[in-house]
Amino acid sequence: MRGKKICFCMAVTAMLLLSRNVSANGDLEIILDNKEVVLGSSIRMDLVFAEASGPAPGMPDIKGLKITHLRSTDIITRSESKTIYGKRYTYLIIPERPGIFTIGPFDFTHENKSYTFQKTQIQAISSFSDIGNPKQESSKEAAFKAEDNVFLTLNVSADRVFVNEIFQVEALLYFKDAQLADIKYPYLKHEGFFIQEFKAPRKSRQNIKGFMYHTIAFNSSAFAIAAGEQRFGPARISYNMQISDPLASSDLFSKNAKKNIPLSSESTDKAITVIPIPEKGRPEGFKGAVGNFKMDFDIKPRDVVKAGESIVLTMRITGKGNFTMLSAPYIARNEGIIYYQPDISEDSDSYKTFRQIIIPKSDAVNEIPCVLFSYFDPEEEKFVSIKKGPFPIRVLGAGNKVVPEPQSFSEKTADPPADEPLGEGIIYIKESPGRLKKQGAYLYKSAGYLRLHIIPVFLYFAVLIGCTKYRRLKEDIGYRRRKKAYPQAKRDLARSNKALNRQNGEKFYSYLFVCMQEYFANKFNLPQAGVTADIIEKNMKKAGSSPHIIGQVRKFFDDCYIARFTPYKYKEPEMRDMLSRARSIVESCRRII
Amino acid sequence: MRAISGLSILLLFLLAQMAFTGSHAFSNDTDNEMHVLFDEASSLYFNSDFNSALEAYLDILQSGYESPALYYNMGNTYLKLGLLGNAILSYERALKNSPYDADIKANLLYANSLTKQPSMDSAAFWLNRKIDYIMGLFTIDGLTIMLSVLYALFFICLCFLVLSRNAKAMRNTASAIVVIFVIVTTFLALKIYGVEYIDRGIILENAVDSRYEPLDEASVHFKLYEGSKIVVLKSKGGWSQIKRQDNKIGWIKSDAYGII
Repeated sequence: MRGKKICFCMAVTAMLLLSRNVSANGDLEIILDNKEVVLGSSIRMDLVFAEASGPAPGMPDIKGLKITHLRSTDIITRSESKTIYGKRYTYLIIPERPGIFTIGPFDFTHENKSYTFQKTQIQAISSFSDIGNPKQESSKEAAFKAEDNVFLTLNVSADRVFVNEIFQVEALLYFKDAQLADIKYPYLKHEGFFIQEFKAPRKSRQNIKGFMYHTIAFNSSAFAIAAGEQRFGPARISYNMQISDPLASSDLFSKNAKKNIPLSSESTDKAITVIPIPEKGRPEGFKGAVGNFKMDFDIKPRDVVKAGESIVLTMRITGKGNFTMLSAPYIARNEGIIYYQPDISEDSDSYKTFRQIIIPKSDAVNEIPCVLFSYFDPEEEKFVSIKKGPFPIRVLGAGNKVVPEPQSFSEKTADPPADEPLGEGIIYIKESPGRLKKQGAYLYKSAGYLRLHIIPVFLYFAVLIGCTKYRRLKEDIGYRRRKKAYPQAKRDLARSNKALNRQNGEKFYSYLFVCMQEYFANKFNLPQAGVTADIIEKNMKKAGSSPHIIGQVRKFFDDCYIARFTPYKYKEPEMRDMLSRARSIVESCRRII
Repeated sequence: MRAISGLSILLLFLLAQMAFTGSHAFSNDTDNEMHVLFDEASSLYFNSDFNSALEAYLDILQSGYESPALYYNMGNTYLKLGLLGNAILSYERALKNSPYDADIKANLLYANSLTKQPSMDSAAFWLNRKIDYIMGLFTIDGLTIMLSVLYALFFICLCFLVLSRNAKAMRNTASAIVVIFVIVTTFLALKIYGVEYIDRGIILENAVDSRYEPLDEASVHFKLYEGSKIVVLKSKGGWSQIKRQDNKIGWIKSDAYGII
């Protein structure tokens, strides 16, 4: 079992090696860049010797095949700390006639070492008509132009097509030893043809006559719209060729400066014979579809429907061919059915779906008419028809439902009927212009509107400050008493003033003393009963009051004591002076303490 | 406290004054003049003098003012004159400023049904379609007001947070408002970007060839029909590079479309 597995693995490895045109034989490796060649072009063959240095080994003469040595290249490899000097000998194999050629197997000696050249087969093709795909046709034209650094070829997949038959188009840009930039999509002269848009370009490399070219392929598809002998092309591609700018190169800082030279390459044109679609045998409902198609069909609802309600027929066309010119399948007419224009969804390469709505007008309708899709198959050169239906259906009475007539067409590809007045079926104009505003004036651009956003910030800070103060007043007794001191002193001084106006000296001095005592008790958060001139003086000094004010306060309290507790005749001017001094002290201490 | 309250009221008053002397306001005389012109245009439309009606509507537009109703009426007039592309352009402009107006939507739908261009709405990526749908529900001014309300609500929440000591619910509410605020801000930014920086247009000519290069002799890439929606990528020497709804890009003449 294990042996079988090893054999299988070896076989797979051998096949892989063969498919990559590489064969290894001890210290010799043979590399072919292709196994198929068109007459006039060549295949490059490399013989890589692991350890060799001498001249190229001679190749045997093969009838119909010319093998010439092109160049020798040194190869240096390093393996297990050992430097190995090898050699690559490049040969060109040029076929002189079409056919299959076998090279080897044969043994040969090179620098006293024996090697075996394994059997290798090469196919030479005489003409491009043998090959169906445009890529190989391209290599013929490319071979003729291979001396140019940049050239363009135009290839088509068929030179004989029917009207509306899709064929592949390839514009292939070759370039070597040149840097191209800003390569534009090809411009293609296509009078009498409809060309689809080009797909994204593909890059690759190709060996032509021993030269390695970069290629950029632009692929598309096209179809003829008129019969006859037509010319397709030429194609032209514009690009910028980048060359080193000699003036800029002299500058130390712009050594790699490139200069763009706008250039374009043009291909040859192609002769295409366009055959009209035969008139004979055209089936009913044929609308110009060319290709090989299938039709999937679906009906909803399938069995029962009310008169006036819609039935949806979904027809999905898939396959290979011209989807651009593919029209909706033909549906047999029935007087009792209203037909709407189909809604179309498509992918230009793979499918087209027609969604057709039909409405039975009355319960007299008993079947959905047959659907017929006909196309012309260009390979078989015959017409093919796909028929679906008719399908029986039960239509119930409409009741009060009014069967609608089709009002607007959702036909997307055809012009609206000429007699259909535009604007029919729209809602009437508005009577008022509404809120007119300056064009492009948005609220977010309005400075005034943006300024309004300060309000919430201001509101927040107002609430924050107010709340903080309120909390402090509520929780900090000292702060509350300090805040309360001034307004209360004002009230008490007013009471003293009243006593003065009534000429009641005893009460006046009593009120005045209590007022000032309470004022300072509140200011310094002291029990009122314990407030004396000494305590006030001590606290004022601690609070940093000026000696002048402290002196004033002390004198005021002393005078008050004298006035209150000595037998004394109260004089109004003195009382007014005392009141004035009290006011002055209250005002002075308001800010200071 | 009394002083703070007084100052707040004064400041509010001043700010309100400043706000309403902004760019949105214009004099009563101009307002009346525009209303008279609008009424005249509507009378002309009623009398089926569509050319004169259109001229009157265009006069209002050229005065520098716009409104959804003005664009809507212009759309109707263009449609009556058979200028389908211009009609769709006007309806789109109306819808941009008033996305909920059922009349505008209905007439735009009808006008779109008359175009020859196959619907390409399904060609766009589903997420883009959803985003476009959601963005289409709002106007820039609507989102701006929404943002301002959220902004005010956030500060009101902050005030309540300051006033009440146990305010877990308020904190959660404020957090939710911040999240919504960020979402709405993103929407507004996207909307402004879409309106101010992306030029969406409508094809005004019957059939326009979109070419690979901005040259008359360049290959035709695809066709655009009157009323088709496009995005203008850049303009150069009388040509504009445009993108169709299915993301195909080509060059057309700059006078072949109108910007929404």
